[in-house]
Amino acid sequence: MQNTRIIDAVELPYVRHSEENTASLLQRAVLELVQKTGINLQDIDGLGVSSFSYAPDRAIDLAWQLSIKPSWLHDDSNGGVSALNLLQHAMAALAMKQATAIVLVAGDRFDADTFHKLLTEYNSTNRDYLYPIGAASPNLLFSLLTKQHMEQNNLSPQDYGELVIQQRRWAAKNPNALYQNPLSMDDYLDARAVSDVLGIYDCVPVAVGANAILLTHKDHPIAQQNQTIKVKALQALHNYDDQLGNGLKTGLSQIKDRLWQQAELTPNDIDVSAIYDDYPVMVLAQLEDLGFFEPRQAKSFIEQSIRSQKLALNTSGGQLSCGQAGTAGSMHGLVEVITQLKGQAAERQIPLAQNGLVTGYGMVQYRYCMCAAALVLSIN
Amino acid sequence: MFYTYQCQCCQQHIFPKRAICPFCYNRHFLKKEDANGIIQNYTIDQRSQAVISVVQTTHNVLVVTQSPHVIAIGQPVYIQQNKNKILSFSDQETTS
Repeated sequence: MQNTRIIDAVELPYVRHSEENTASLLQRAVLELVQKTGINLQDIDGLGVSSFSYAPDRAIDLAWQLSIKPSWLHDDSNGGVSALNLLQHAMAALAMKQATAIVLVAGDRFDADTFHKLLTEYNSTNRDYLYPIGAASPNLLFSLLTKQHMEQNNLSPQDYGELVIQQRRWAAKNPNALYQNPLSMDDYLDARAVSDVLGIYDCVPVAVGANAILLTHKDHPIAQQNQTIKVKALQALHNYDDQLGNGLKTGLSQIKDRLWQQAELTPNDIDVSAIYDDYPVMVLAQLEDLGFFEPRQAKSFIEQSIRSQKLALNTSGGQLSCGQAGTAGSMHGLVEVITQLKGQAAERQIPLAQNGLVTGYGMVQYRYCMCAAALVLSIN
Repeated sequence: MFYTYQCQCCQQHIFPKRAICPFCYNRHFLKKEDANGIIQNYTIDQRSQAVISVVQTTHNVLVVTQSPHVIAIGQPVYIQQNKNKILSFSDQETTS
């Protein structure tokens, strides 16, 4: 961990629909990163790729397209956690001197047909047990989770709406956000229903886009010449409860202590946070798991820390306002926190942001997701 | 008819079946009838009006089903499986 420095990050602005294919998106994200950081393509010796829709191509095919000659190469398609997975492996590669300058890139492009295919063939459990009963869409599983969470925490639709509205307030300051128009509570409550408890603003909109980051060994010349970001802690735990729980606790609940100890920080030290936001319910579940509030205190936390924006939460607008470009969604929050820590966030910049938190969450199995990871970053 | 999988070592039931018992790491299961349960949670798909429910079976397994009509939490149901289509009916039939 001490050997890793994150140099910079880019995001191709997400769009709702595009004719550009995934290969082109991934290439463009890497080339934009190369231009932004000034690294030469021939100096990149590690490449990690995350995508659902890049198949049949893989990381090596992107390397060939861009004439990158990697000594470290990795593919990861674990959805909302794939960016932090890639980072975890990349850090090990830097520590082992298997590579010195690594690009991680995530991107996806879906149309109606390919998105339907993704949903119906997401995994064998989904294909065999959820699709046949009309429950292949994650909207319905997260609707079940929201209903349960609402009851356990005595929350109203307005409470989830507050989180969505505050994220939209951030999005208004992000020229790249897909949805920037202000959202009122009436807009939120009157939105088209997706289920008996979820409206469209509770469900992450499908988008097209890509993100990329550059990380190097701390001794790399580019790390010496730039303001860089240090990884203070990275912890992950997947399938922690074997799908035997209620889905409202994630693996983060088990790694919380290790994470904060490794970072030598507490939730109070975090200046900017990107909590994986496919659905508002899971943002609250992850914040609780990481110790931002005690169990059953979600309502007062929303009132005191989210409504007031005391917690700088998903300052890009999050995926709920920027969209979810498939696995790129796993890198969206990471790019935003890097952007904030490097002081590049313009109108939405958190003054003097020193420490950032990023989470990843994803991969529905039968009733809820299996994967969870959290990362703490600090400006060097 | 609906079946869950009982671990031959610790007797716990699971569904869907997997390679290893998550409770005791045994590999051997017996298919056991486990069709009676109660509605633990449900949601309604606004577009299709499908009622997707989670049923807690007698052997404490949570099964995602589709109910043919709106049901209530706590309501007893009977699960039927037709190939992979798992449906729960509120007109309970007793099987034991």
